Amino acid sequence: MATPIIMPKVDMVMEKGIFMEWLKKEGQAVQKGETIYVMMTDKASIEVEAPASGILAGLSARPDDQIPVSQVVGYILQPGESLPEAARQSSPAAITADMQANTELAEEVKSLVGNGDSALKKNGDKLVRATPLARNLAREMKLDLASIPGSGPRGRVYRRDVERYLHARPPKQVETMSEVQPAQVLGFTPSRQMPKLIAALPAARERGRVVLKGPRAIIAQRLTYSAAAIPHIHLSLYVDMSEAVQLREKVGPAIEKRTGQRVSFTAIIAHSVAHLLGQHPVLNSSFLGEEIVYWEDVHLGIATNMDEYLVVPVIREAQRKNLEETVVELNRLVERAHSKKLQPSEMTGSTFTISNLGMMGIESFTAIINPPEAAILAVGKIQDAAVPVGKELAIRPMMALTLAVDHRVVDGAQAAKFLAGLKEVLENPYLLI
Amino acid sequence: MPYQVREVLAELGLDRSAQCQMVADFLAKKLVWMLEKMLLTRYFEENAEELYTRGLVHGTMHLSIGMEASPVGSIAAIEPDDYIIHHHRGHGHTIAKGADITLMMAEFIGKEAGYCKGRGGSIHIADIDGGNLGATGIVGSGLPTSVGIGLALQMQKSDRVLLSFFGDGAANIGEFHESLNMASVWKLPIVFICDNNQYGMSMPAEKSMNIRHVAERASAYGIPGVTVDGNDVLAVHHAVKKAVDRARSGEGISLVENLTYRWRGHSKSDRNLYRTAEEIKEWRQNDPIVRFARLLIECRVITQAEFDQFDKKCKDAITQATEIAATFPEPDPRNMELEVYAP
Amino acid sequence: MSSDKPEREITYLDAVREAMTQEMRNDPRVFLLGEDVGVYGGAFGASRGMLEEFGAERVRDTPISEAAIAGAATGAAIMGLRPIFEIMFMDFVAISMNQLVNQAAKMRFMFGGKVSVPLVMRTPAGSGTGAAAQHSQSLEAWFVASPGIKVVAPSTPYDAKGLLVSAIRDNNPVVFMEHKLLYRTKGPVPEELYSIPLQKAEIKRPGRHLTVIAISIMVPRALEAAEILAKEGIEIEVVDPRSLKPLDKQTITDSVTKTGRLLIVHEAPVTGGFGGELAAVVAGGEAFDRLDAPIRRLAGRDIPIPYNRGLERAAVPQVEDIVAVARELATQGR
Repeated sequence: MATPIIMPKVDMVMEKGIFMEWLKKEGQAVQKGETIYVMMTDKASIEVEAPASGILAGLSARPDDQIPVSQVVGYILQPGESLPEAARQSSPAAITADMQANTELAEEVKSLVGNGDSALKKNGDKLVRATPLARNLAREMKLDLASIPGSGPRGRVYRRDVERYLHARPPKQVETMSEVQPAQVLGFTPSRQMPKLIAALPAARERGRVVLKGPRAIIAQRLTYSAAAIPHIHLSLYVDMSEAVQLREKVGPAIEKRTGQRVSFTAIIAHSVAHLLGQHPVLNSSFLGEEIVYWEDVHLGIATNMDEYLVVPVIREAQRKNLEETVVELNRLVERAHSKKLQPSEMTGSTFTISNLGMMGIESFTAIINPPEAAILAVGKIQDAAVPVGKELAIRPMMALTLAVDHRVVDGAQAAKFLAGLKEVLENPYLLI
Repeated sequence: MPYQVREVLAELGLDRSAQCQMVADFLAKKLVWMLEKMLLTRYFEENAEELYTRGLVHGTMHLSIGMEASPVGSIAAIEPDDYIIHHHRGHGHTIAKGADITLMMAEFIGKEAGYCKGRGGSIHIADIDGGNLGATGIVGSGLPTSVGIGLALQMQKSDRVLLSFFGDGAANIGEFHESLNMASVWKLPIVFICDNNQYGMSMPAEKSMNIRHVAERASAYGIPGVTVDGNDVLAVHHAVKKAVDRARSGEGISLVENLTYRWRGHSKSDRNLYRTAEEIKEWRQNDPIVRFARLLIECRVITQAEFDQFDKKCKDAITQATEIAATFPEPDPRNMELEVYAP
Repeated sequence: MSSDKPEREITYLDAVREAMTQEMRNDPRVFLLGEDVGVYGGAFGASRGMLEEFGAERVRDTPISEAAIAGAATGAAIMGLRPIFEIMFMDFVAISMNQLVNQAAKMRFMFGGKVSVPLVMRTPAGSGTGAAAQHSQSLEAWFVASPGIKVVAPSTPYDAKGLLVSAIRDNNPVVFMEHKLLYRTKGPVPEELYSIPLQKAEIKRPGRHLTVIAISIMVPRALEAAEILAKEGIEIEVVDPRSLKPLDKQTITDSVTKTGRLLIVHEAPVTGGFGGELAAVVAGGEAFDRLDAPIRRLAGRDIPIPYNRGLERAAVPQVEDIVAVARELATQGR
């Protein structure tokens, strides 16, 4: 077999060698160990020996070629041997073309870097000196740091300065609806709009204390806003879930067999809500102060209880999913929630929320709307009750649904139509086909 | 001008009859063992070199081609449960101490299955379970550690000994003095062996010492010192065996200097500018393997045909080891912090 | 620590000796080597009486050969013994560095986990005795920067005994830094053998207004400063990491989260000192958002320790320096 002549690695950092010249010619006979070519690294000029005795053939390297370590530059043939296929086809031109491409790339990068400078131009921001704590506090309170006088060197703002600034402003009552800024619907509580609570702490021994941060803090802000700024009305009714129970019994095993997932009532309700909202767009909307946005997609938030706080994983585009897909997605999200693997993107962006406390034994309850949504459905426990059917009493599994809506966006009749429609669908599941 | 072969043979060479007597005293099995270990080392080194020029080995390596007799002859003089500690040019030592070639190869190419799980490489190769307490990349660093190993053997009332290999360059480092001094005072069970290949990288030994033989320094510590033709594996064995017996008996340390020569440069980036081609050529005629093989054939321990067989067997073993090692998986870079401390 | 019976008080030096002695009685693999540790009883008296109890094999005098001493400990450790070696002044550790950093610290990793190196280097460090530039350094930062080595710097006799016992039992190289000026300090120490785990800081004094992390000799000085400032109504929390590597990051972070202000005090020169590491740990961690003032380091000046008494004092933080800086840091912006 033809013995390849390669570009050898001669020091630790070498990646390429520069081919200088052949000391022997194509077709010439050489002995093993005889020097046959000279190459250069950035340290020295190196004479390379023949790895075997025989005839030189297929010499492809040319002076000044930059050749990567271990690349073949020629062959030594024994009598009767011929060059391998690859050698006959490859040409030095291929190597130099490579180099060319590299140079072009280098030029491109250089030109980009040159333009980069302009992107880093100062945008005229005034530098505000403040401690991280002060910054944090100002951000939470939605204060403009630059307008807070700092007591430290060169105007450094401390926490105390932020607190002083806050206390100096008189507490404002929220007079009119227009006081609530649009941006706030999408952001956090502007607690400066809230009257400050001044109350005596109980004279009791402390059991513990925790700094409000992370999800707990965010929930606190959202709910404060919601309770204060969104006018809620609540509508409730009872749903006879016998048909739904039957549906679950019939369809559940098949779905479980196919997907390994169990069908929950929450999934059935979610599925029904998702498909029904298409006919009741006003409940799948957001109030933005000046405008109301009606959403095409239904991103269903399913309130899921974790030990320490609530997370609301979102089933995206729930209106496109059939029951099986809803089941799979819901179970996947809940599992991720419990194993604490939910990403922020999986917990935000809902257009409607369902909260089910039925499994905790709650018969009915009212929920607080999750801004910027316009409604939230509170689901209670399915329990047997005696209900009139025709003129007789029957025992049916009954479930309370309580719908809260943002009365700025949804009026009573619209809410009622949706809720009644939901009851109808749950009591007659075939309506969804 | 470093030693010429003629000088070495004149000054240190054993005469033929002495060598034949040594051969007669040995079991044929042991002689063949020594020959095979030297052949394995030679082919291992040549193979490593080839892998390196093909860009398959990261970093650098320090080849001991031409120096095989020193580690093999020395280690032939100890028992399998004795210890060695050695240096960056230690492939031969590792092979002679019984390392698995495949696992050695695996370490070289940085595989998880290697002796050091790919974390050490050529310069830090060790086979702890086999009594090979490791190479070190810092010249002379094995010497103070040797003191500790010898101390432990003494305190544990063991009858094991330690062979502590170092090079001519290390003979000039401060730790050499501290270590030999302390070890001589405590009479530790150590044999200090200098693999004197006459160059510390590019610096000839004669320019870095004011004495001719490293072994002369033994008198400074009140211990026996001997210089030996390091390319005569039997002479090496003879000298080291004496020192090993002394160490084992509790009489203390010795210094053995094996005078030899390396064919290749210090490491892969060495351009050999500090020595002449003639010098290299001269020493290549003094090939320890060829000398030993010729002696064995002459003394009818083996035939030429048998030698060719061993030769092929060792070559094939290396090739096979390389092929297998190449299939081993790479190590996982996560969790390296967990490997730093012992639990 | 039991509070039933009054603890006897012994010196830091005695506590170190007690730890070594009790462990050596417990475990025949433990032994001590170093210059003048045997007949002389140790340059500072740490091993007084131990030669008589354990004999010359286990309390071993050596020639002046810091490299060989460190190497001897390393080699013995990989063979299963548990050596303690004393380097008479921490400054001399420079001669041992090769064996410690290139061999002992790295052998486990380099050899794929096949060996462990259970040694302890005990060494008196620090200035204040007029020993000048080459006998007064605190070089903990060198070792903190070397993967494979652990670093412990106890400030009280109780901590010294418990941590030395843990260091001896640890299966890794541990640098045990003893400040010379602490040797004569006294404190309660239980007679029985006990250990304090590594990587556990201690809040030597709780406080609300400022966290002071202090190393070694700076712990008692910070506590003194705390007493003075308490009279002014300023409460500083003194945190003693005790183990510099591995570091108890949680206790430090929790403390700064609570107080919002951090002062780091150590004797070693400020540039490149361990304080930089602490500051980065805090600034890069959970406590960042609670910082209400810049993190400050009060440490040795970037000079060799001078001989003259006044100059020597001025070269490193004293109680009054800690008081001044802590006062300013605790009160700014408040």
